[in-house]
Amino acid sequence: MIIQTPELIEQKNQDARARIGKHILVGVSYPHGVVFGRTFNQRFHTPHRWSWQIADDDFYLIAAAIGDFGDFGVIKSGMNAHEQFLTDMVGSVHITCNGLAKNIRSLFIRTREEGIQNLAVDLVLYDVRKNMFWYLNDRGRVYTFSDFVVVGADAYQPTLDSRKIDPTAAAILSGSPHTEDSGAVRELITRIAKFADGLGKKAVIQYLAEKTTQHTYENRDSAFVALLVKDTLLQYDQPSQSEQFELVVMENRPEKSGAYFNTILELTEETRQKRALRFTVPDYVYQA
Amino acid sequence: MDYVADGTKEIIGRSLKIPMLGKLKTTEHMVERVRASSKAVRSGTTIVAFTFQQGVLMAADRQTSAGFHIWSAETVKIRNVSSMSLWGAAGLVACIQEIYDTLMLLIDGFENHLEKKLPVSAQGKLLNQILQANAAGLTYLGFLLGYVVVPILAGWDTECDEPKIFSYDDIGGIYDMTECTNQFTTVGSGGEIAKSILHDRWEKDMSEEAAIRLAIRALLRAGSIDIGTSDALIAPVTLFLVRRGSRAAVQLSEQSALQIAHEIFQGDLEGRKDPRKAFFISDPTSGSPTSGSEGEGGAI
Repeated sequence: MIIQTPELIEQKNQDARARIGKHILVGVSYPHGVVFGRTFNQRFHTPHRWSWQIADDDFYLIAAAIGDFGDFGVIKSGMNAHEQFLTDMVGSVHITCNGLAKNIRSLFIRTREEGIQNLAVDLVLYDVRKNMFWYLNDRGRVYTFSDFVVVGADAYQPTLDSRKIDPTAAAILSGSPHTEDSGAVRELITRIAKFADGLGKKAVIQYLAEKTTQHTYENRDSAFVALLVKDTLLQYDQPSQSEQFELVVMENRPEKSGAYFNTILELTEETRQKRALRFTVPDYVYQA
Repeated sequence: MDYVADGTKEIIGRSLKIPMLGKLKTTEHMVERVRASSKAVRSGTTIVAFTFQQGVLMAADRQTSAGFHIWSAETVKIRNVSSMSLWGAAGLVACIQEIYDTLMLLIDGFENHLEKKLPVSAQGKLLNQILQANAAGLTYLGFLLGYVVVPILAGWDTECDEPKIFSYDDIGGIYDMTECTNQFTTVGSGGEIAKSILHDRWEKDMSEEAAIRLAIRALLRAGSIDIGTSDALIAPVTLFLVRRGSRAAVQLSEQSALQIAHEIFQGDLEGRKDPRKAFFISDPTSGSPTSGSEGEGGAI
């Protein structure tokens, strides 16, 4: 049995954020579909591993995640069991992200409260019918967004380096015996953490907010959105030489069958210099 | 999925369990109950449900019987599951009530969990799961008593924008009648009689008025032949309509139900040149619906 102290929980939170890593996962929606993009590193994973369909044949719901690949399996198996249960009881078409988020949230919280480590995963669920993203972080918090979502990127935030903060707080953090008012320190840490959280993502969010305001939801299509995701990743999450981008597109048009595919984008020198940003959704996906 | 000691079927999710029907927990318990209730209240019933142009209809008689004893002639056998779906069932009253309550409980639970209203297709699937989860108990009682509970679920599916009628057998088999050529179903002791009327007269795109008359005709015939079904001339038929695009099911007034039943009956007598027609009062609300004037005789 692990005795869960506030310090341990804080440490677990920080550890989880560190394991989630420096990269971002971007998702942008368009009518009847969504595009998710993130870096792809061949050394670490095979393609198509960080995103999966929910309720397989319906092309309504999709999950995408960034973080520790080891923890994806836990999330996936939890989701699969819940999906199966809901499919048996009410039919797969009635599965909602609300239901899934509630179920997975409890998994995050249970792991955090009972385990030695958090599930180091930022999970995003998307419902094509509602144009709504559900973002679950490693602490089990659920946030909903429309139009676009940016998750991950906690390595962008400045570390809680004691040398850069208030001397009193630094003394306290370093375990100085003069620290008696731990409540004030905790508040300070929280404030810094709050400030730091989203610092790296803020620019990305601003960029996407601007773009999505210019091109409203109704005026976007898959090619535009894929290009936007790629452009965003190039600008704000420049991968190293060994890394590429992987985009996942899921579409469910009423008049056509659903589509779900992924593409690894080769990064040439040209694309790195943003001179050849081309991406088109292949036609064959509609022929299924 | 495993059965656990407290008689519930444990399923993923803390609050979404299908309860085993409380009174049917063990075989011994069932045998005891059946022996103790050899005169169990069994429901002789006729319930019909069918589609019409832009809607679904469900109609039922009013009689609850225990063998040859009429328990009540005022029972309303159709209940709302949601604003756009209806439930009707034949069988043991205790089981019907328990399964209905279980269904409502689970629908509430799932709606809260999924944060969406479940349409009739999902409700139908849920009911199927409840019946199947309790299949062992129900089969045993069914073996001893003939039948236990046979529900019908009908309504307008707001998501697919089409009518749905689900018919079940007594151990949980599910039939989507709207996928059949004949989009109607009946249940209860008078169900076969009513079904023969529907086989003859039901049409796919019949008008609402024609549908109401057909339902009442079917129940009228069932009531005249089946001892477990009330007479539609005396006990007004309960009739609910779910129309496409409406917000809720609407009920035909008892007065209208009686009036239509009388019109149909009179029409039939006229067609057969039956002398009793002369003594029949056409307006049931103006007096006793089945008596002629005194001295002339001829009361049915």
